[in-house]
Amino acid sequence: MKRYLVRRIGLSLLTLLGIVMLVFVVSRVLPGDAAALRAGPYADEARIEQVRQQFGLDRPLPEQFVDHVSSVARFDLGVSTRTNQPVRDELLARLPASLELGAFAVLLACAIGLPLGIVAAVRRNRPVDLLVRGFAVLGSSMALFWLGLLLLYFGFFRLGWFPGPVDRLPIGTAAPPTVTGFFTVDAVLAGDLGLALTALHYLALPVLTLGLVLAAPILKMVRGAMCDTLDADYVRTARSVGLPGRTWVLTDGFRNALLPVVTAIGIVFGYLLGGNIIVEFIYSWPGIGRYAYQAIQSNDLQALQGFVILVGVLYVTLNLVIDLLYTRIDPRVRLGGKVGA
Amino acid sequence: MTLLTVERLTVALRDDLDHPLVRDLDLEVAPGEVVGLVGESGSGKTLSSLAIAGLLPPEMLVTADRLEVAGNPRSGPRRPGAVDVAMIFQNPRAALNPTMRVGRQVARAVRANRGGGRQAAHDEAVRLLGRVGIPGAAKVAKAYPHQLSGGMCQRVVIAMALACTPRLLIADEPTTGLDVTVQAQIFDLLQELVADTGCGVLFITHDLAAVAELCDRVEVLYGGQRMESAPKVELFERPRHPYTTHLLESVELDVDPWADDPGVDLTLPGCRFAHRCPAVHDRCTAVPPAYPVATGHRSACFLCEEERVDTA
Amino acid sequence: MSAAATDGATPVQTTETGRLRVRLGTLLRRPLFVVGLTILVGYAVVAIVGPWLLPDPLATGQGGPLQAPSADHPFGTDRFGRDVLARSVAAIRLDVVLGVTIAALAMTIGSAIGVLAGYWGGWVDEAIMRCTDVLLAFPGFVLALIIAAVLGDNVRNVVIAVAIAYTPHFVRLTRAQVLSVREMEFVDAARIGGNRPLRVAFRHVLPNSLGPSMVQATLVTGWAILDVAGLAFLGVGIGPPTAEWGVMVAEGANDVVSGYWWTSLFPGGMIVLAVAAFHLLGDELEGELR
Repeated sequence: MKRYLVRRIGLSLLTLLGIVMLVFVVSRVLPGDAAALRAGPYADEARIEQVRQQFGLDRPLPEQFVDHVSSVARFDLGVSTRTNQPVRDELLARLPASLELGAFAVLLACAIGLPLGIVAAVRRNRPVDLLVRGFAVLGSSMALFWLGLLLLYFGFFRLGWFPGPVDRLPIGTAAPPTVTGFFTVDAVLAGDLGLALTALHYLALPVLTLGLVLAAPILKMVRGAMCDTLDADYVRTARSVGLPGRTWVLTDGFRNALLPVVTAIGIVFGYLLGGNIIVEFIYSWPGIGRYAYQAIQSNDLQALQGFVILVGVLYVTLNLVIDLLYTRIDPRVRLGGKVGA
Repeated sequence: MTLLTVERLTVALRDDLDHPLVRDLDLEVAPGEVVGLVGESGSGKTLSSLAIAGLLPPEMLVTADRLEVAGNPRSGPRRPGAVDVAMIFQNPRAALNPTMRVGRQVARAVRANRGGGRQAAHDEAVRLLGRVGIPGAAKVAKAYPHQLSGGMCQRVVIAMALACTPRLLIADEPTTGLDVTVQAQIFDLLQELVADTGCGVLFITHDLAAVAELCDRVEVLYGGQRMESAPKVELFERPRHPYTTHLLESVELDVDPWADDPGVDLTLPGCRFAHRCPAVHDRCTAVPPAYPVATGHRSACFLCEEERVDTA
Repeated sequence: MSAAATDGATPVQTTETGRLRVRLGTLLRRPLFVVGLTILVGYAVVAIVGPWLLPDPLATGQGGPLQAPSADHPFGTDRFGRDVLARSVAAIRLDVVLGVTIAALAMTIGSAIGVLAGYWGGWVDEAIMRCTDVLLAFPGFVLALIIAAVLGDNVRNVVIAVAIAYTPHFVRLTRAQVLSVREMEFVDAARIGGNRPLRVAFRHVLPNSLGPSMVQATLVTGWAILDVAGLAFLGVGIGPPTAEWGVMVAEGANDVVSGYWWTSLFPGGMIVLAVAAFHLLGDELEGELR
């Protein structure tokens, strides 16, 4: 088991290295003229030359590469050309906002996807199943930006139930003292339930947008995995010894479907890290996604690069956590060996 | 009083009622009796046993003139918690939940059938594991199925079945794929349990040698119909049905009796062995009744009409 | 069974295992497949016939900006006075064709690489697998985003960027199939028959490994449309004044909050419908192949 852990962490580190390499290739090697790209479409020759020197783009590639890797290893992601601030600091300042949004979105997606997937599998091919699968198809085809605008239109403009795309809290409201960076959690910790509720209110539409779309792949995976486990011999055994329906559906069926379900949640995080940008843009949410959007708009390659590296790191870490979760879920992975005769 | 009485059991898909998979099957199991249900795959032996146990999915329609266990008629699928017919299956490791310790799986069965608290159920589970011949039961109870051998897994499944204090135990090919020595041990265990608890066993198999070893009586199935039914020795020494004869000959010649079987045509009326029977004649387009040919010996073949005796 | 003659070597029998033995007839009996197909055919018809009947998608000043849907303009007009319906229809040709192109590209290149990896094994396989691992260590949209941002804003670069994001999926899928197909008898026959390894790989192994890839290709087409539109929405790749669904949604985004919903919600809706159609096709195809 220890060996598995070590191997797995080692693989993650290698993948991280690969990501850093990939980012290097994309940002330095791929473009025709890396300096011209950074200088922007309005720069003249002199400015381009200046940029080339500033970013060390005139040095030989191997040197650039070593420089790049060592910077990243030191957590130095360069300086944003838009704000002149260190990219790392800007990303870290905005990360909690994105994490809070993402965490609630995944929770909502699971709250929708898990029960619906189970019900669809138990009542396979009956009307409920078809409805649920219809929802899954719709969710998988959903353009995040469309759903976000749709919800804004109805939730904010039409019904006025939710705030507009402004920020995480009403303008002029102070944030709770920072403990986790999650406004909801921090407000509760500070004893201010009203503030926590307000934060939730502002979270509602973006979380709904992401959560509804993310629910679809979870739902599909859960249904698929449950259909497999419900057909398994051990479920038949459980039924044959007289266990009630709820028990064998959950304890035998669902429990053994956890592995693919956890995998699905991992994949969903991938969509989250990408869809983040769109949702944060629409709702003006001050997270790393919006930062990336601003970087794109202002041709701030350094900031965009930093964002991509951060996303890569988050994704690799997440998959590592999931792999480690596997060992907890499936005793066959954790324990080997035979017992008894 | 018989433990199991089945009269004219018919199992068919609701979408396809004209082609029943099991047709007009009769079966009896007496207390303390081990009855072998012999047939190839597709003969309906598993389907009928699942029907008796109430484990078929709703797409299947089960009808019978009589279907009683210990005198109690069974209607519809089983109700959880009141199990009097327990089943054990082939491939024991697959029959156990891979993510749950085996002790807990047995304890669950205990609580579902006899009630009681968690600790009491656990203690009973360990006792049952010991009862089925697992050494060091307390330790084994903490193991997961993948850590146990096939034979041990089958014993665990038998322990789970015992937790239901069943009147009838249906064992569907429980030793296929297991070692010969393990097979013998499982057989010994089953016979012990029958002697101790007075339950009956319906032992489903395609292996005639296993039948010879374990069973008291034998029912021979083909195409979802009962062909012949007799005490074991009687069946082996004086088979009265062409299909049984064919089976026994194949065993002697050491060939697979079903190698060239093209499969049963469910649309044909009459005896379902007719398409392969060396003695087929015009009358075979009707279903032959089960003629008694000796004490406890019946054969569903028109050829036996002459020899039928009046004692059942 | 079909006999494939080879140049200079003995003729070889190939079996149809793994090759798509799905007939259109059986597929058409699946209602959801028909629904998906109908939608796509509908789109195709509208895309071809539309331009004759509708105003110029780029022409501004069509009866005032931000007009609500009416008889004259069924989808209304946007803030530049352009007819939204005309633009939405014009976008069909662009988005759907791009989606199909990207999927075809990713599948072709990905399958070829996958066959190489699966058939050769050894260090070639290892190297290719490590590369796909790294590419898949990123959420696809983010990868496509940075590649497109770096390459520059035009259609060609968007196609390349998104195709790169999906190629690793096909590499993995094909490789897995190849690993089982290459053990089959007809491959040995081809090898013994004197065919060069490259030929065996591409002529015999590849066609029989494509089953799951075809299903994936329909799904990828849908996702590619979403990605292209999503990137355009963010201002990467395709931009105004091109009539493209994502661009249209972006242009109308600011107005939605003020109540002008038709400029963004109609084109967005068309995306969802198109992607859903491809999804249905892919799901039903998968169900048929199982």
